[in-house]
Amino acid sequence: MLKDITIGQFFPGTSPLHRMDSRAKLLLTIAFIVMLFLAGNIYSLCVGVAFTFLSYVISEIPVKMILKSLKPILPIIIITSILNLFFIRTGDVYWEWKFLKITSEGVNTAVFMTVRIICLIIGSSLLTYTTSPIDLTDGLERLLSPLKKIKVPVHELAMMMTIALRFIPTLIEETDKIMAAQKARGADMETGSIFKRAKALVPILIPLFVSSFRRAEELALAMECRCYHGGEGRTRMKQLRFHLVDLVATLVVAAFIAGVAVVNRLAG
Amino acid sequence: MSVIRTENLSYVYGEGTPFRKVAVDSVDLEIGEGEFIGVIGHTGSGKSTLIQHFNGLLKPTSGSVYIDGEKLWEDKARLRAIRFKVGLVFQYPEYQLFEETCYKDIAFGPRNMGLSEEEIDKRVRETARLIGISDEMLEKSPFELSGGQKRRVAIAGVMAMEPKVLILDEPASGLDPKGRAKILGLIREYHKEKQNTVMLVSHSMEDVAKHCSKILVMNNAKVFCYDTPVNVFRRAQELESMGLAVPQVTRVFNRLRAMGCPVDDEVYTVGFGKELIMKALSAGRRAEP
Repeated sequence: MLKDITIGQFFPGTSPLHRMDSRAKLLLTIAFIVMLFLAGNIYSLCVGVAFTFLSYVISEIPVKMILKSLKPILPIIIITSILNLFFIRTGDVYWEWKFLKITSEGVNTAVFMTVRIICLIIGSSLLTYTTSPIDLTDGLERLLSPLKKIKVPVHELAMMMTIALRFIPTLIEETDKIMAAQKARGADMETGSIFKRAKALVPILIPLFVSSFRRAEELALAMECRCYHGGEGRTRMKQLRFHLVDLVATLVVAAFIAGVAVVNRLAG
Repeated sequence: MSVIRTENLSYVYGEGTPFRKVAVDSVDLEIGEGEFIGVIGHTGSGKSTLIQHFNGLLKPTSGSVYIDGEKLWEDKARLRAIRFKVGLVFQYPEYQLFEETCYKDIAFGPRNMGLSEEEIDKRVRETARLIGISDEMLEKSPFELSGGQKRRVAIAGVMAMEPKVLILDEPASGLDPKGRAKILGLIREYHKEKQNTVMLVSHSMEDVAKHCSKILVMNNAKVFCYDTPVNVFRRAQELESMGLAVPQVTRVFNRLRAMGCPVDDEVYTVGFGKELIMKALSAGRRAEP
């Protein structure tokens, strides 16, 4: 049951998007977001949609996964489109009932916002689908490394993130085991009032905390045994390198941003 | 009457995903009351999955489990009551300890059963005595104890529920030889005193041979055989081909027989082997002059 939780929804593959450098992907995702917000009308937004569709096709991620990533933000989409639909009162009136009014501009804005949000989510989930969590933290660390100059512990933060990601599945498994053990001793977690249920969590949380501390201690010891002393002078087994594919991707994104700007001008 | 019965029991992990794995494959079993059963199989053979069905922690993908004649999963509300009948001690049970004192931790199970305070007290003290936990230890925090002591407290926590069937998953793993012997001895003691059914999951053929009246061998999610130790260890070659070894002493005697010594083929404990050798030696000495 707990195993269904996925954190860092990496979907392994060999598409060009998978092979891209994580730094490039991070930066281009930001550029992509800028692109979407630059788009000032339906036509230029279509350029953004085209780009989203293109990246989706290249990524080879199944459409099921894309829909899964959209599911959690469905309420947000619905609420924003309803708000836009009913509260924009300018333009031609399509339908009216008491104080409710749907206008052409309302419909336009609602569609526009919905498409923009959907593209935004698809684009950024393509980033997490095609990049393993470790690559992602690596890329973040390198991108943020200039901040070291102003004493931000970038390496330490990235290491903490990596460790946290690494241990999430382990801890989930551990929780499952402890839950089963306490259930076998008759712990009842499914019935009773909220207060009773919260109390029933104690036999799970305490052993979980104890074992997390034990693991943390063991890990710290193991790291020290391997002479870990922070990021200073540390080299990497997997060097991040820009390849041709990154250059091509950058050019494509630049072209699409230019396209959006041009269409904006033409249609505006 | 059999206390546990399974009919065509199967369990599949990750059905409908690329990670689909059959962990238990159409198992038919009947386990009699009062028996001491050893469950053996290499890692991933499905033993842990199988035993989790016996107290309703896992729901069979197909087939059914009967405890004391009652079918599991028929009525979900009855599951908890059935869990009190079948006590399950997991691997590394010391990781489940959570109370302030050992006493309270052992009392957790009985308290969940809704017993009276006197009954809880009686059971905790009796189990503690049985498994060698002193009164002084009962008042300590479980986190102050040594590994072997913690393990015993955790096992006592399940024993105190006085289940009809006690199932232990590798109760001696990770302990030194002395701790191993102690835990296994105590479990045997418990079986002798309570006459309840005990199932012992283990990797060690030696341990199983020494203690159990019957052995269940799992291989590739199926029951390979379920028989008395003598009959199981007769199939030494098959066992070895699936990566399980017969007890070392059995191997010694098998080898002796292959070399032409007329020795018994039912040796599977060191004690019995020693007896035989002593007998043979003294007979030889008598024959010499």
